[in-house]
Amino acid sequence: MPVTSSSFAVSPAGAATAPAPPPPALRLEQVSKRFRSSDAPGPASAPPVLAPLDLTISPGEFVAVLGPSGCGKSTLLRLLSGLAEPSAGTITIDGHPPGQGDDLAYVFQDATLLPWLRVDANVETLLRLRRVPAAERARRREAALALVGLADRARAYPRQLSGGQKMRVSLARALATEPRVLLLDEPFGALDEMTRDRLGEELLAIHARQRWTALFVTHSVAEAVFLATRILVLAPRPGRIAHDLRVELPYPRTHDTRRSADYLRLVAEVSARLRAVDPESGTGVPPAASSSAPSPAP
Amino acid sequence: MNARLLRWLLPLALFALLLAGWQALHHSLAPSRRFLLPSLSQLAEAFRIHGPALLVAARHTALAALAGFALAAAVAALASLLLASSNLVRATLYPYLMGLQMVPIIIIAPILILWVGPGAPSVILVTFLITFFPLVVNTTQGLLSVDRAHLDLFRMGRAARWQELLLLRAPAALPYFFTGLRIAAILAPIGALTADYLVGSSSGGRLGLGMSALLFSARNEIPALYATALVGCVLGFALVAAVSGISWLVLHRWHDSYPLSDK
Repeated sequence: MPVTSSSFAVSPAGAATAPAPPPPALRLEQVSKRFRSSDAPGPASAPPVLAPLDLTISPGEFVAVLGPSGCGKSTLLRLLSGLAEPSAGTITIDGHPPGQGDDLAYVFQDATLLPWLRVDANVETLLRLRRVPAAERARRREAALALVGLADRARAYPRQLSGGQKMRVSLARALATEPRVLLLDEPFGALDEMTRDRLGEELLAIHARQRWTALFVTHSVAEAVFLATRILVLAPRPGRIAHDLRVELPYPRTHDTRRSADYLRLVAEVSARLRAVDPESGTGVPPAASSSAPSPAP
Repeated sequence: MNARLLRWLLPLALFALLLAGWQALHHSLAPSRRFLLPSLSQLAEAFRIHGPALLVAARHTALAALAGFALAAAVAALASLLLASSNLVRATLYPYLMGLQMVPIIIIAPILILWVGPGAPSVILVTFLITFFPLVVNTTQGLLSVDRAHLDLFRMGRAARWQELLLLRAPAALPYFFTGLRIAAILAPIGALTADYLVGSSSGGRLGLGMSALLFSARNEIPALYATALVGCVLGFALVAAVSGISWLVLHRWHDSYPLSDK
């Protein structure tokens, strides 16, 4: 049995006692989403995609979202980004409703670079839409490209880049907007494992410098544990938060972290919890599980 | 063998083979029917006699074809932006656009002369009518075929409608626009030539290729007719080559239809 101290454990997030918490970066109050019967097949009384959901994320937190398919991960991101409206409840991002304010950036599953623009122009796309003056655009573009290590590829076209490089540019495009909140939708899912690991490490290094709030959707438990300060495990039908876990691994997390016993134990533990909420795996978990999360594994 | 050399040699070999076949076909006909397919020397003779006149005629036809083509490209680009801006506009206008292509040119040619006057204006208008449809259909398709994720990106960036149209949809539609241009480039010289044939007779001295063909046909000068047809083909090739060149300049760096360069 490995030596476990309380600072190296997965524990319910509520258990951490923070003195005088800062105003939340992200707050969801009783947010639910139900598609109208015209939008989706099935009876009008189809279960909501998201059950009424409460969630508060503090500035600088790095939150990973795990869950089986159909648990509403994508819907959650669409609601937060303002691409979709909740059926009920309120969402506040850095004090604004979603879709207002310039403090939120989104990193897509694919790099979604515009193929006809060179890397530098791609990084500036969102700034151009916001009518940021040219000099300021150039400054932010150069900073963002340097941050992702692609300053020397500024004049390349997207199709000349590797998958990993494209994702770096996509990240740079989001970072150039100087966001307070960053939503990432399985950004490294299509990459090979080595590239994926390296980009994860670099993302953490950038996070350590800039301290935006991250909501990172992923299918990989290992990735979630490596990156996040907190992991939300969602359960499907209706989508709800089954577990809200704090990852007590010290930062900076490096390549060595992935070999540490604590890391491996946490991955195993979170994997077990994820399996438990996945109906495909046989053992369902009632919604009540969220309020009575078990204490750390022995 | 050197692949580069082969690229030149093979087309040349086929060309020589075709010429030989032509000549063989000519000699295989009964002497009384050989006039139907003139020999290469007769063809060369026709070019020697009518060459200068054909060149002038080709210039008139080429200018008219180019004017009609350019007009169609410009109007189609603007019309496509309008059509792509709303489903309602598209559903309302589309039948009329198709109708434009379905107009039997031969029948309305005399009316066109009355509308815009004889000669060049009529020829340009007919060329426009023939080339407009493939341009507008392809370009509209391109404006509508935008990656959903790119649209999401622009929506999240709170892009205005005009920003979405000009910064996202228009560049995404460029490859489609060039496909339309290629088709139009093939149609334009044929259109101009046909129009000249139909309405050019009242052009007041400016002889196009269509009119030349009409005269040669009346005088039963078969080799000269062949020569005229060949000049018409060359016009078509020249226009297609020009469009391909411009397409390469605009697209080759970023579009996947062109090979990736190492730089």
